Amino acid sequence: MTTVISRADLVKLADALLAQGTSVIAPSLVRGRVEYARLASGSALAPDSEYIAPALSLKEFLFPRTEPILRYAYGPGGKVTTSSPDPAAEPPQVVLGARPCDAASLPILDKIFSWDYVDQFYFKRRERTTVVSIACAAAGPNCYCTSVGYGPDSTSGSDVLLRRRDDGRYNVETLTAKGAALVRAHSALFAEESSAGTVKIAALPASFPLGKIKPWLDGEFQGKLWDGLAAKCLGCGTCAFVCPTCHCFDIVDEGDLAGGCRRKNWDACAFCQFTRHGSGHNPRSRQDERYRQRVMHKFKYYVEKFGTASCVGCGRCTVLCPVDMNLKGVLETIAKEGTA
Amino acid sequence: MADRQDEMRKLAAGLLERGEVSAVIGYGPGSRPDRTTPLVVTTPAQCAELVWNEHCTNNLAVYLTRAEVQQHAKVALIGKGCDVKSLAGLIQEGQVERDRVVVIGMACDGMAGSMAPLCRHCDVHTPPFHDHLVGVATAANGDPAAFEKEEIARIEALTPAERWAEWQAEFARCIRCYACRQACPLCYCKTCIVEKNQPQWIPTSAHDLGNFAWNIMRALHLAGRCVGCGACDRACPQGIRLSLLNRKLAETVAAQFNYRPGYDAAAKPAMRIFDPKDSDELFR
Amino acid sequence: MNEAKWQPKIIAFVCNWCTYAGADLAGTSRLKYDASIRVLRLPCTGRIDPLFVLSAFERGADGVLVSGCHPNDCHYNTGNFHARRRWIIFNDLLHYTGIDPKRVQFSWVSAAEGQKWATLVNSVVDDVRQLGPFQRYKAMLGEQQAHG
Repeated sequence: MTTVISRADLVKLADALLAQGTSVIAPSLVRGRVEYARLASGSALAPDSEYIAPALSLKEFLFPRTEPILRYAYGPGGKVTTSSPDPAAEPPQVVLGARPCDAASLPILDKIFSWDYVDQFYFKRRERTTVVSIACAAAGPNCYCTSVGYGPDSTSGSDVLLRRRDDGRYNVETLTAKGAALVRAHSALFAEESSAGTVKIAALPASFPLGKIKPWLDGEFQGKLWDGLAAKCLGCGTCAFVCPTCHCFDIVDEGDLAGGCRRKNWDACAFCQFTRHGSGHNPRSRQDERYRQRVMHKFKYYVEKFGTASCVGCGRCTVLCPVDMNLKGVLETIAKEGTA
Repeated sequence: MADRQDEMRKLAAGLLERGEVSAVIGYGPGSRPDRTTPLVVTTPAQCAELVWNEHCTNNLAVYLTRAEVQQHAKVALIGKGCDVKSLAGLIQEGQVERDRVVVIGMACDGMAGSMAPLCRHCDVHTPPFHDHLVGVATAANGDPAAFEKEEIARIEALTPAERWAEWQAEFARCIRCYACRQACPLCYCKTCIVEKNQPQWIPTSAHDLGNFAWNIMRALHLAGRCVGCGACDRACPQGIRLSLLNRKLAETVAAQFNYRPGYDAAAKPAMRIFDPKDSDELFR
Repeated sequence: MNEAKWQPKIIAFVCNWCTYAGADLAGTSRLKYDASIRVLRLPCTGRIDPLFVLSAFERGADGVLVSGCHPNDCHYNTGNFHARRRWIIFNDLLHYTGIDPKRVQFSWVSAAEGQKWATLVNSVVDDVRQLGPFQRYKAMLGEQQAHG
């Protein structure tokens, strides 16, 4: 027996969740392109056949672009009062229609946000988020999830995985207790089918062997490759900001004589001032050093620290890069160099 | 376009062979058939990788102020008209010396994709200056002032509250990636105003206030300098309509000070000079 | 808190040699003008960066006045000429984004124009009083503020 849900019932599920005060995050058409957005109604849920992946990743719903983490006010007699926003006070979230690559980014982010300090802002939201993913029936020209250990119907990070059948409905695979609870709570919208039907999953052969990447990186910090690659990198933060797994942030205080707010803001290692010290020294003062850092961090340092690369192969960095920096291409080159 | 590609490659290779330049900044094939990518070549053999087609949208003049490029005594730039206009600005502002750049001007009948609407109003299908010219433009010159004219007029016809709401919605999309700044040849400041934190004039946070301050201050710093190449607009990963800001100020500069940047590298930039007879209308 | 009747906060960026002296003359002449204005003295209008105007709004100003020497009278010869071009652009940009023209006003007030200063201030403050608190900017600040 296979649990199934129709598209119409998926829309109803979105509405039911909204009605109970849950925030529904789903791919939605916004200004002519599909983005993950908080739905105002289920009808805004974009049919998954109409896009490869939403333009940006899911991370902003767990790790916002800018987030107040502490508010402070100076009172009479020098007394300081502080308060911290509590993400547990925010409504629960359901992602309805994550792509498997985006779902897979969550276990990767979990590691850095619980490494030496458990980031309460991230985890309180994470606890309150249920992820329903939709497997990919088609891959885009910049996709390479299968090269980094994932795939169009990867289950990593998902609580429920939907796979589209030839009759337009979705087979429902419940993966976690959270996912089971969601399906149970709305069981009227799900049906049981005797057969699993024919399911279309994108065919995406791996572009390079992941196993060849780190060994090459281990020895090529001073390699000639970086120079040529970085010549065209503009040094903007687009790749870092659209990437599902990039997580660097800057802490800033914005205030005046009365008080202020401490914020956690997205930051990018590609920015020229990213590693500038208070002394004025900048250990990564050249763009080639900064681009090398991006690749090293994702495919060597993160692996050494957490046992997994910090990349899900979504290809967004390339799709949205103003100068078409092709990370898949770079990795293909590295894999070939390693062989030579 | 194919014959222009061959001629461009030959020219580039010749310049490198004869040692007239030590690098050529051009375009190479992209990760998809509908994209190209900037490519810096340093040997004649590498020139075979250079391409010229309707996807050569990037403004390559942005690389002329990079340290890695400036280390070369002389470079060649594959320049569309719009890119050469930016170069005029860089020369005017003393950032690039004219005799250190060999301009391989490309006659351009317009790019495809999101750049096409801009190209329909282009008046520099033949670059305004060049050391070599590849091809003959067949597209008729348009009026750059007409680009976005209707949209700007539509916005100006809104009430202040409506205008505010529209721009707030636009700026809410900003993620402060600074792709706009990095793609712009005229945003060459080693330390951008937003990177100054003693004091922090422009909040770095991507909230309404920070995004408003960033976007209007960048537009203001480009007033009278922006040549309307559209690189910022195309670079923005969030599709923010930056051209509507920059073009509006360009029209103010044109109307008030009779100046349009990019056509004459010897001209004095309007915001650098003044006319004692400038209008006093604004002043009580 | 005396919030009986809301009073606008106007920040005036003025040049030292003309407008500030003119304001001083208004004072010594015992001319009365609205106390809702706070005056900041700069050497020249050419020194006034549009960022100062934004900064004023960020810190709760409801209106801004920029004032300096008449053209041809600038103590530094050309500062106000450069400023004039700058304000023309900035003014257009602010309106385009939906900020009411009466919230940022510009004038030339000489050291001899004490009366002009007083009249001007009263007029600007009245304009802004009629517009009310600068809610749009305050709404943007809402996220930032420590309290309320």
